[in-house]
Amino acid sequence: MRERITYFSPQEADLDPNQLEINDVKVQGPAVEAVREHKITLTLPELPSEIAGLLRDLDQLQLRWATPASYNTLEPFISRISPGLHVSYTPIKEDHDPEKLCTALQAFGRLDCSSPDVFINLSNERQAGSPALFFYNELEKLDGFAKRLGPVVCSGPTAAECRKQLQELKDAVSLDMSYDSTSESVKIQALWPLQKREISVPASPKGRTEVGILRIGDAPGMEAHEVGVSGVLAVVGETKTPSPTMFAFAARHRAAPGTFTSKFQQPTGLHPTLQLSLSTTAPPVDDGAECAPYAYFTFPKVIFADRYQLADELFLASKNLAAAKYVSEPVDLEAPAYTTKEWGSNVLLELASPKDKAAAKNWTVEVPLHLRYLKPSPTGKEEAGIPYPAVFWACNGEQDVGYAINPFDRINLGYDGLFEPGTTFWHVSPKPAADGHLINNISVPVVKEGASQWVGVGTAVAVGLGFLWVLMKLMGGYAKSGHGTVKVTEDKGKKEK
Amino acid sequence: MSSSILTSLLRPAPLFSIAAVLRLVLLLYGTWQDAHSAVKYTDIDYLVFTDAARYVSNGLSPYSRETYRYTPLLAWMLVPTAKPHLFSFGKVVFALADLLAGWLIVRVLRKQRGMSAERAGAFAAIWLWNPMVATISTRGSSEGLLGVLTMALLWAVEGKRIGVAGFILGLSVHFKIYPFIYAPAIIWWMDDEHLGKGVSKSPASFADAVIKFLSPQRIKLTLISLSTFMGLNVLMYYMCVFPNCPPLPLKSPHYYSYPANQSSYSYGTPFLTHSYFHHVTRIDHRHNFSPYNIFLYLASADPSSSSLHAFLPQLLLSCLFIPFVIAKKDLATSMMAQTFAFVTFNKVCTSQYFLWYMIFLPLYLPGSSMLRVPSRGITALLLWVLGQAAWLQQGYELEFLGVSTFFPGMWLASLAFFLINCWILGIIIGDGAEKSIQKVHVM
Repeated sequence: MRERITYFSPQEADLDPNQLEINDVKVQGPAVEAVREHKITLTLPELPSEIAGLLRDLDQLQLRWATPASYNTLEPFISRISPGLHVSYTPIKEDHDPEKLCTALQAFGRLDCSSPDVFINLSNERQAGSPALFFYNELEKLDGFAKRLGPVVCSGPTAAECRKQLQELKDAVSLDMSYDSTSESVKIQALWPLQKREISVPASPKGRTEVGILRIGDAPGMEAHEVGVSGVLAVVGETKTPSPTMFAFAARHRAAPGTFTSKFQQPTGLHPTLQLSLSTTAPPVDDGAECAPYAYFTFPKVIFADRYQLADELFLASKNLAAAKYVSEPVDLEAPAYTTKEWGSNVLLELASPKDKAAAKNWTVEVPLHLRYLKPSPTGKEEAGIPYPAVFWACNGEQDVGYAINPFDRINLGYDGLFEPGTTFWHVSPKPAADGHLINNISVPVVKEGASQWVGVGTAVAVGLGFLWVLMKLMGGYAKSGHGTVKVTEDKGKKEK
Repeated sequence: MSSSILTSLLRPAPLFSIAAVLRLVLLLYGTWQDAHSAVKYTDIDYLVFTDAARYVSNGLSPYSRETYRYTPLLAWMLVPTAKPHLFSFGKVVFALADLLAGWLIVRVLRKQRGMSAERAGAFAAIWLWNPMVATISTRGSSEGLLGVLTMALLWAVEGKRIGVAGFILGLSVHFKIYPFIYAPAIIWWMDDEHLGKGVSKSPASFADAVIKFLSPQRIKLTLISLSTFMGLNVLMYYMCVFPNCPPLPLKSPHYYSYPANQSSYSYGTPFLTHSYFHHVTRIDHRHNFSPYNIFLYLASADPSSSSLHAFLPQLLLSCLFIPFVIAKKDLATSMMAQTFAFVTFNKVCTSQYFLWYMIFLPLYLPGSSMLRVPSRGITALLLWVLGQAAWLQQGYELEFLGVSTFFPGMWLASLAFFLINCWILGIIIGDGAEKSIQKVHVM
């Protein structure tokens, strides 16, 4: 087991290495404005046997969670995904049953993932090495997860310290857990947002703990597209004095200027329009790289985009959209949510750039969507939360950029596999809705539960009455003239009638 | 003066020219609107057909297109639309089908009803000059094809072209299922009297009656229509994809290694599923005019319920009772009433279905009480329109404003529209039952 804890501050942060207190059991320092990342690397034998057994059936697994709360962060921890729990994996055997995995996932809360049909297939049109199957579930907090995980992973004399660390997950804004069969190791990365925080790292009870106290800054020989970092490193229990460091790396995920908001146009009806407004629309780089703005959506099954509707260029242009680059399959265009097995769908839209500078301020794009019918409710309304999309500029780059050198690199976020390997993603920060959450709430009209007692009887009575009326007319006709042809000779007498 | 101008417009040449010009103008306008507006004139279904036609022309199955729920014949018919400059080809076909249906109406009215050209033209104009009919076909909906098929069926039967009638019946059932309701009416109608063999004596016994009923013509019609229907189905089922016909894929043990376009190997099961079974198993929860709609929405949310019994009143009326009482008296009115009952009592009902019975209006209206007693006809028309308007208002609030109007507003509106339709159906049935009595009057 290896641990790495990084405090990452903005360039202007005041950070004096001499104020750090380093001893055998901890690294302690004054409060500083910083993002905190905690990374743990474990090998399979270090894991509880059920979890290790579960992972041995998989080629790769990624669990990613992002908070629905708005938070601030810094490069290079800038990459975004829609808030909620994202699960992607590739089984070793094709007939793998996700039930074991689903049972383990219940640690996060009640997730509906037991049927294989809940997962959607990702393998088409993606970079090699991308996971095969994907599942998403909304998940607001990690509190329950931290609580349930305690008894499983914390044991022995250090259990109390272990539980305390798990409790810290309550304040985390992002959690990644990934496994791949090549390295046979599990990497866990949690992120705490940019805020004033005390530096405090206890020694790991089971392995080596590296501490980095870093800030953004130019490094010598750094190239224009790189992120430079300087600061000090220490290993708890090994180093007595912090060792200064300075390095630079090419980052896959960068921060684009400006913010975006996401909201539903009112009234929403059954075919709501999601409006994305970007505060600036200038490409983040002007060094000749080709850049285009994109939005990557994670739609729970209650809402969906119609791929066929998003195929017409005039229609797209009228919404300030350029193209629907990817719509996950399958998306049933008619079924109600309660007969739809898939968790939902992913959509990658290329946004159109404004044609002139005047339009560039507060650029708004509209995403036409459709609601599925939901089960009856007592009020005739059902509330649904649609997570904010990830909005970014994708700029093409050289194929062999050494992104993997970046110690904070993040891959397989859902959208990155849909682009060329050298692509840089410039993330636009989400500006939350009024309640501070990165969730768009929508009210779905449904039939009132109380209706059923009337509808069953009322429909039967109406259909019965209509049927009897028609039957009476038929019987009247039959009584008058039978079922055969009425003879013309007989008719003459009735002619005047 | 003005009436004589109108009368002259009802002669065949101007009648059809105006109908053609109306469709041409709508077609050109639609092309213009599609090219210049984000709001499309073209019906979404047309995009489904043309996508399917593109798949077919690329050697794939039309069922690769989601929501393609038609016979492959339709996709083949529209293969030219795969070429961008021939996109409107299908709409032209549908518009021509409208005109052909109108021509058949005129022919039936003149040859089989002995009407004058102008009078026949006036009734045919109900179909030919009908803006609703012209709009539906030029927007690219295939319902107009059913119009020509059902009118051709009536024309063939009344013209005693039994072989042709059998073929058209089989073809139209293959195309859209619902024309099977005409089979009992036609069989019942085909007695010696209607086939021009003179009135024969009543059969002495039940066995005689059965033997007499199983006439060679009836057997011929049954065999030809059944073999056309089944022949087309077998052909579509085993149709493999030109030019290479790979074997059917064995059922893959794992769902995600299954090709996304599993149907691209052979039409087979997807053909049966989408063309036929879909209509039995569909849950029809989305709001539409049907009286069963809200009931079906509630039922669909409860997996234990079944709603198949909703077919019973519909099938009893449209396949049994109505043809039994009316078919021998007036086949066209029987078919009109059967279709009207079928659409009114259907589990799903949208305005395109109204075209199915509107094709029979020109044959039903002459001598109907709706024309004889204008107040009745006008009341029927007004109520029919008002019923839809009330429902559409509820639908608008739901669809665009997100107001939960399912209950009671939309439910009551759909029941009201249903009862209006039942009342109208009662009038049509009353007229049909008395039709032979009126015949003398008309002639």
